[in-house]
Parts: sequence; structure tokens; C-alpha cells
Amino acid sequence: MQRLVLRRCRWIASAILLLAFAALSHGQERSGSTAAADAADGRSAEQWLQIVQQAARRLDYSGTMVYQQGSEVHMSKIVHVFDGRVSHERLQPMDGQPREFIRRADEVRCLIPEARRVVIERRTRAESFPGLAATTTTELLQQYSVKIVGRERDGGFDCQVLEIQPRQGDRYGYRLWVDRASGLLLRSQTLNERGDVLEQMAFADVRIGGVDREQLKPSWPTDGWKVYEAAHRPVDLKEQGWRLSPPSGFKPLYTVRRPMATGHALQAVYSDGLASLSVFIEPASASAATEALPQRGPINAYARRVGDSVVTVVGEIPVETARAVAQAAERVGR
Amino acid sequence: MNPDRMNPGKSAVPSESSADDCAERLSCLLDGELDAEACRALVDRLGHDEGACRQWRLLNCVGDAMRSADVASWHSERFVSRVSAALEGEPTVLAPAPLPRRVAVRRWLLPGAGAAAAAAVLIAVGLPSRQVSSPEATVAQAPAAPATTVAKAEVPVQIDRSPQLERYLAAHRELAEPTLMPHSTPYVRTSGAMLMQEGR
Repeated sequence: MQRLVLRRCRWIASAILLLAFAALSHGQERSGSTAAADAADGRSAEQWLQIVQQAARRLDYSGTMVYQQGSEVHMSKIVHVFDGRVSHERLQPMDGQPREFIRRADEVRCLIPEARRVVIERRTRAESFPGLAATTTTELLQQYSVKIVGRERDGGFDCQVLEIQPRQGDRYGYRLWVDRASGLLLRSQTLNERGDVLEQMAFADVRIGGVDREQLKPSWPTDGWKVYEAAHRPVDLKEQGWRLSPPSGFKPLYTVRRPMATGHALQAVYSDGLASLSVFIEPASASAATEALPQRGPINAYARRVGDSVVTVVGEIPVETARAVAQAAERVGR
Repeated sequence: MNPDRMNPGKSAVPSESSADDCAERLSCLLDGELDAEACRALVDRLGHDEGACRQWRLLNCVGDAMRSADVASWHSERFVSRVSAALEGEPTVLAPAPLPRRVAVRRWLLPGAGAAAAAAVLIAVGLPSRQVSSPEATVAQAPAAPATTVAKAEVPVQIDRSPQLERYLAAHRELAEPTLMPHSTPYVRTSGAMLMQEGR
């Protein structure tokens, strides 16, 4: 059974790859007629981007999310419901250890059945949530150019294909397949400067609307499970004696002091609306060993020692960008 | 076993040691339980005893698998020897710095080592690759395309599968917010494999 599933995964992976190649060549072919497609539709690429942002938050949908990176494929069932105020989500990875992630607004409960444990991860931000993303479309367009590259059928849906190119080479580009009827993003590819697909996420078996709320409930009764809560304390980076210089357009989302396995660390999270990066600052002794990260498609990390601290940059950014951010980290006025 | 390589009575590794005994000692070496002399002797032995080497790789692989199934990799003997041979024949553009003190207790591999390496980011430590002399560790990205040839390797890079940076990834995932996809999307990347390692 397991092997069967595996073989199926592999089959899907190759199918996706094939599709990706097809889309690539197709996209290039079409790019000449962008303006025409644009005009014919009446919606600009920028408008599509706004529609996508809204749809991901406001629609009710369920389906299977297929994540592919290199030869690796993960599938997760996802259910999303917007109750008019906040969004609710349940994510069930279909491979690896049984897990479930149940989100309500900015709180994610991670269920670990074999340990009878619930880990609560809470995002605490001053601004209200949900609402628009921290970065507006206008701000996003200062860092990226967006264009319509075609119209394709994907997963049974009539899709608008968008291409998002970084204006500078310090971040990745994206290709998006958007359901023209609902605005839901059905497929997303992360591309490097050569146009190679670094990672891909695609929705399969999508159902839009009519999602039963029961589907948001955990698969296991969690009464009596141990509950752990990640404790993050918001801090001021300057007061902590640090100055960080992320690339242009990356706005701070959170700056927190948080427990890590080796002690406490400062974590500053930045996002430009599409990509995000974290900077971790810890006492050097806490992580004296060399460090590495399993490669996850577009995710890179870079560690650098600054005085008696170690600065580690992790994010969906090219390694050169991670290095630049680490190198620009400096101690200030203390 | 290769009797002419044995040197009874001298080293801390008994010459008549069975394969089991060797495995035992290698395991002790991994756990840092051998004294300096025994350690040196065993490392010497690893230098010429192919069987011990294989055992060593197997033990490392088991250790990796125990830490996380995501990072464990096992390469065929032929593959490893081909890579070694290609590496031997490769002119080194940048002279590697002297090896750090902990000789041989390292796992060496090449970037682009195929699907198995895709699960691991390669870390170049102490070897000047792009930057010259800085006390920094680059966690470089393995080439996405498995078609990358071995010959492209500039310098040997080390794969260190410390779970330390996996924790950074988990911590990043927790607070990173995708704007176009559902918010739980970052969890898709990891399948929650790292939750247990956080030990929270």
C-alpha cells in the first residue's frame, strides 16, 4: 500500500514536471501577445494579484495541496473556511508521521498524536488580523513586475497565468495559475533567475464553497493531551542593540525573543509580500557547532558570527541575499 | 580481513578485532567515548580498511535516520567511489584551507550528488569558496537539478546534518506569512517532521 502511494506520488511528480515544462514553453510562446490578452480580459495583472490575495482569505475551499521540490513530493489535505471575521484552516499532511495543523485566525494548533501533544503557535502582531497582507499590492509592485502570460486549463479550472518577476536579482520570481472564476490560486511555482522551478505548490481536487465546518475538527480527540505554547515576547531590535538591513521592500512583521532548543534567540521576521526571511541572533556559545539545513527548494540559510553572537538568516531567498543580510547585521549604540 | 595490515600489540584497536568489535568501536567514536589514542588508531584504520569505512558510513546513516528520516542518505559503493575518483581528478581552483582539528570525523560529499543530496543543504565550512577569509559558515543551496555534473564541484563541501538549522526553519515557518496561499502553506514544506525535534 505504502509503495503504491509512493509510486503514485512519483507519478504525480513527473506529471507535474511535465506540466511545468509544457507551461514554460507555452508561457514563452505567449508572452508576445500579453498586451492583447490583458486588454481582452479587462483585468490587469495587478488587479489579478489583488484578487488572489483576497480569495485566499475570504473563500471557503477544500482540496489536496501537492508540494513538490526536486524529487520530493508532499501531499496535504486542506480545508479553509472564512466565517466573516477570521479564517479557519485544517491541514493534514498525508505522508510522514500523522500530524494535523488547525488554524484559527493567527493561532495554529499542531497535533502530535503519538506524543499526545498539542503545540500552540501564536502570531502576535500589533496590527489587526486578518485584513490585507502587511504589504499592499502597490508596495509589492515596487519590488516586482507582474504580467499576464496566458490562459490555461489547470486542474479542471479555466486559469489566468501570471508571472511575477523581481525587479532586482536579490529575490525569486513566481508563476501563478489563478482560477478565473473565483480568483483562487491553484498553482504556484517559485523560479530562480534562470527560470528553473525551485518549488511548486498545486491544488488538486479543489472544491470551492460549500465546505462543511465539521471538516475543521481534529481527527483525534485531544482531551488529556499535553499542551505546549510557544512563548514569544515582542522586543525592540534597537533596544536590544542591533540594526538589520534587509533588502528593499522587506518590511518587519515580527521581532520577538523566543526560546530555541539551545536557549533564547532574537527573531526578526521580514516580508516583501511574497518572500519572507527570518534573522536569528543568539549568543555564540549556544550554537558553536557548524550548522546546516536540509535543502527545501528555495529556502536558504546563512550564518555569521558577529562579536559574541551568531546571526543566522533563513528564508525563501537566494543564498547571496541571505549572506548580504547576515553581513549587514551590526551592533549599535550600547 | 586483511592480515598483513594488522599490527598486533601496538594500537588501541585490537588487531584480532571482529567486525562486531570494530562496529562497537566506531559507534563509541561517534559518541565521543574513545580516548585520544584509541581515536587516532581507529581513524588510521579507517584510512585503509574498506570494511571499517563501510561500517562507518552505515553507522552515520543510521544516526541520521534516527535524527530525521528527511536527511538520511545512503549511497551505493560504486557511486561513492566514482565521486571520489572524479574528485581526485578534479583540479582545485581554490586551495582548500587545512582541515579543522577534528580530522576524519566528517562526512564529505559533493554538491549535486543527486536525489539523495536534495534533502540536504550543503555547508561549506572553513573552505573559502566565494568569500575569502571570514569566520562564516555558508549554508549553500544544493543545485535543484539532479542533472548537475560532479565535475562542477569547486571544492569539497561538508554536509553536516545537525538538526540545529532545521529548528531555524521551523521557527521561520511559524512566523512567515504567505500572502497568496493559505496561511498554513509553510507547514506543507515540512510535513511537521520537525515538531518533535523542537521538544517543546
